[in-house]
This record gives sequence, structure tokens and C-alpha cells, in this order.
Amino acid sequence: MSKNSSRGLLGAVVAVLLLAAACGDSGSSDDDGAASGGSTTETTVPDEGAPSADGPAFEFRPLDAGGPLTKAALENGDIDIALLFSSDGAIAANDWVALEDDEDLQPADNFVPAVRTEVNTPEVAAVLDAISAALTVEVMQEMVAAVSIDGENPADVAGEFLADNDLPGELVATGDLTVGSANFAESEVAAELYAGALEAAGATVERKLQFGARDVYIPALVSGELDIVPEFTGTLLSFLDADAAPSNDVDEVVEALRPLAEAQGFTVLEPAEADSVNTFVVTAETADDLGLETVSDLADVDESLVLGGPPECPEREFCLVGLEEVYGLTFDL
Amino acid sequence: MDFLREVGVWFNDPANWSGGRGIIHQLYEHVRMSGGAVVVAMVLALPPAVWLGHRRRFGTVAMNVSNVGRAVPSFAILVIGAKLFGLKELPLVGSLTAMLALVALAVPPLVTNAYVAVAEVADEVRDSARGMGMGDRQLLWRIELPLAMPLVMSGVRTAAVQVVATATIAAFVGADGLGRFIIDGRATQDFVQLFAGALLVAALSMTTEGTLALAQRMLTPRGLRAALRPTAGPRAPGIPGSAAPAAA
Repeated sequence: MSKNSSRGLLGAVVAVLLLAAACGDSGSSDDDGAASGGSTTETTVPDEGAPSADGPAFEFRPLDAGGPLTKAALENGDIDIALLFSSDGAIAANDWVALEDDEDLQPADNFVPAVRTEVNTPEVAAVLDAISAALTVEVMQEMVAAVSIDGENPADVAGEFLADNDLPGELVATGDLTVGSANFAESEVAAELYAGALEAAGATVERKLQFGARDVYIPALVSGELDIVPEFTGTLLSFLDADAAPSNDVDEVVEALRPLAEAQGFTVLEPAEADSVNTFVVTAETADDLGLETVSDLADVDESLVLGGPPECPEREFCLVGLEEVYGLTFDL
Repeated sequence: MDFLREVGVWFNDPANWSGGRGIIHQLYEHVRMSGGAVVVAMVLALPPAVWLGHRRRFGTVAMNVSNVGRAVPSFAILVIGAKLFGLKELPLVGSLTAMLALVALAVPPLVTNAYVAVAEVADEVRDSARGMGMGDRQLLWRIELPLAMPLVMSGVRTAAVQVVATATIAAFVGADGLGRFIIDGRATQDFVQLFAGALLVAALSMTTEGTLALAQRMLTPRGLRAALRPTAGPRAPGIPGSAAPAAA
């Protein structure tokens, strides 16, 4: 082992690296502009109608996918804008403001019941449609917050909602049904809503909640182990057809979804207004101070804001790429 | 082979070197974060460990307490820190959360090595020093510390290499550094970038190891260097207190 010579070499390498680091840092402001300018001009051709931002370039902080890190950063003021899921209970709990996606950047991912075709009687469909019709973004957020933040039981939260809204009303359903759900709060709450309403309508319901991820519960739905699961339109479409590019129009997505689902032996009913899409969220103070209601309003902001999102954000249409191309914002990476 | 060629292409692309997300910037951030953590840990760990070694007391307690830093996973500290402090940045050293995790990792080897190094200085050597009329302070500074230096520095080396390698996961909590290439590469399924990031971290770890080995050698008293040299040849006589048992 020629330890001594390798040590000398390594020492030389670190010296060069440190030198380079020092130079690189002092010159990085110039490099910055050139690098991000170079990469964006290739990929970004702003829409005709896209507003051009006059304000300074925004910054991006790579954090997590709508997870605790992003939410803590927004809470602490480390970031100004967070990319979260619209159904995230934290939005309602913190009085945060979800900016309206007024240029329809995000694909439609609305709550929708998926029912095994064999058990999908008109009565069952009527009860589930009644639930979907009552599910707005706001009520879903509140229910999810009650479960994931306040630790309440999904069944209690769902039961309260059904009682308050007099659901399922006069509707009647019969049969033995098994309701499953995915392993997160949004799905569990929706499943409890379906199960509770069907029980109130007269059906016998077995619950298999927290059944697993989509790769587990869709095969169970196809095989008949489950009869009803809550789904999300866009994600389910992508799951059934990897090449599908779900649009931001929920009706289009559902139209594309239905034949694919029928081919597997289950039916996609009417989607709810409530959805679980990527949403740009700001604190109430930020919204007040800067007069923000829609994502477009960000283009008029004349200070540099910091966006926090998942690490893949700079490469993704739903995040930084869309903000630049559709909303005309600029980011200094 | 195609994959390795792509990695080569990645390294040859000047766009990957410059700018706020480039190698130069991330390397600088990585070194700044790791260096800061090691320096903070040395300031915290070395004085008490050396003093306790000098007194030859409470060594087990000190080592066990500091070993808590090794028992708690760095990742857990990061996640808890992120919850408590968010993305709080400190001057000079960067992310507070990363600093906590890395300092906790660096302290145990520093304490253990420094305590053992000073406490294990041979009794005969200490007695001779006292016999020559040295006071407590002179004994520590002129006898114990120089003799302990190789082992203390080897603790610094261990700590620094661990910190450099672990600073990678600071990217999980939004900090910059070479870990960005790994985390971001994974998030975008860009395995070329991920692999390049891993290579950079490995290179920096080895560089750290090599540099500190050099520093360790330079800080070792000349007499001890000969005694510690592992190669064959006559051992320098009369260096008791060195790690090697002195021939009677």
C-alpha cells in the first residue's frame, strides 16, 4: 500500500477543490443567470396568453411531496408558497389559502366511488352519487383535518357529516357490500362516508379499511374481495393506462376512465367536486399582504417569493415547469 | 457500460458544474456544513475530554453520554429538527437541523479518542515530567497533549469522514450539499445524476480522510513519528508512552 503517495495526491485534490469552491461561490451569481437562462430558454416557450412576470425571479426549495417538511416550512415562514394536496387537512387547520389554479394547470383528481359492476344496482349508485354531490373541497378538507390532525375516528367524522347533511335522506339500498379504502386519511374518510350512507339506506356493510395501496385494492376490487373503494379520477386513469395523460377537465378524465374500468369489471360513478390535486398554498398573511387569490396573482408580486415542493418539482409540469410555462413566472434556481 | 458513459457525459456538462444547483456550489455547501459541524463538535468535545483524561476520571461516563449521539440515528435527528426549526439557517455553517445531526455524530469518536489518548499516557512519563519539576499545566500542554496527538487526530479523522458521508442526508430536509444530486436524482428517476452524486460524496470522503491523515502526521511530534511508523527497521529507542509498548 503506497499510503504516503496517495495521501499526497488526496491532499492536492482537496486543495484544488477548496480553491474551486471558493472561486465558484464568489462567481456563482453570474453563473446562476447564465445557467438557468440557458436551460429555460430551451424548454420554455411561454404561452401566447401567459402573463409575463415583471417581478423578480422566485426561488425554489426542494423539500417533500406535500409532507411534514413542506408544511413546517410554510408554518415557520421559511417558504412563502407550498405545493400541497388540496385535500390536506392542514390547509383548513392553519387557515392557509389554496390559490385557485385559474389556468387549469393541474389534472383533475376528484374523489369518485369505484363499484364492482356486479353489485352496482341503481339503488347503490343513487346513494353513492348523493354522497359525491355533497362533497365539496372545503368539507373534505375539514373532515380530513379532523382525522389526520385532531386524531378523530374517521367513522365518527363521516357519521357526523351524514347526519348534518341528512344523507342519504329517503334513499333505500339493499344487499351485502364490502367497502375498502387505501391507507391514508382522505381515502378512509370517503370510505366511511360510503359505508355509513349505505348502512343508513338499509344495506349490510362490511368495512375493510386501510386495505393497502392501489396496487393491492384494485386487484381486490376486480377479484370481488371488495365491492366499493373511493378513488381519484386522474390517478386511477394513469394507473389503468400508463400512457394516459389525464387532463384538467374531470368530465374528460371520467369519460376516458369508464371504459377502462368496465373492462376490469368495475364501474366509476359520478365524481365529487372535492379533489386531491396539487395545489399552491400560501398563509393567510401572505395572501392578505400580497392580495393573492389565484396562481395568476403571483405574477404581479414584486418581491421574490420562495416556493417549497418535492425535489422533482423543477422537472415537473404540475410544479415549476407549469408555473413558468403556463403562469409566466420565473424561477432562479 | 452505457450507464458509465452517461455518467461521464454528466460530469462533462458545464451546466452541471455552475449555478445554484451545480457541483461547485453543492460541494462548497457540503464542505461548509461538514467543516462547521466538525469544528463545533471539536470545540464541544475536546476540552472536556482532554481535561477528564488528564484527571483520569469519569471517562466511562463521558464516553457513554457522548455515545448517545451515536445511538440516535442521524435521520431521526434530522426529522425532529426539521419539525422544530424548519429550514433555519445559521451564519457560516448553514442549516441548523443538519448541524445538530452532524455534531451529534461527530462528538462520540472525538470524546472517546481524546479521553483515551490523554489518560493512557504512561505513568513513568508523567512521573518523569513531575520529577523534572513540571506543574500540572506544563504536564498537560508539554507532555500529555503532544503524546496524545496522534490518537486525538485519529478521532477527528473518524468524526470528519463520518460527517462528510452523512451530510448527504441533510438534503432530505431541504439543505444543499452533494446529497442534493442523490435526493433529486432519485425523485426524478435520474439515476445518472444519483450515481454522480454518490461518486462525488465518496471522493470527498476519501479526500477528507487523506487530508486529515496528512494533518495527523504533521501534528505528531517528530520523535513519536518514528516510533509509530509501522515499517520494519530499528524502533526509535526511549519513547515510552507511545502506543507501542516500549522495549525494556
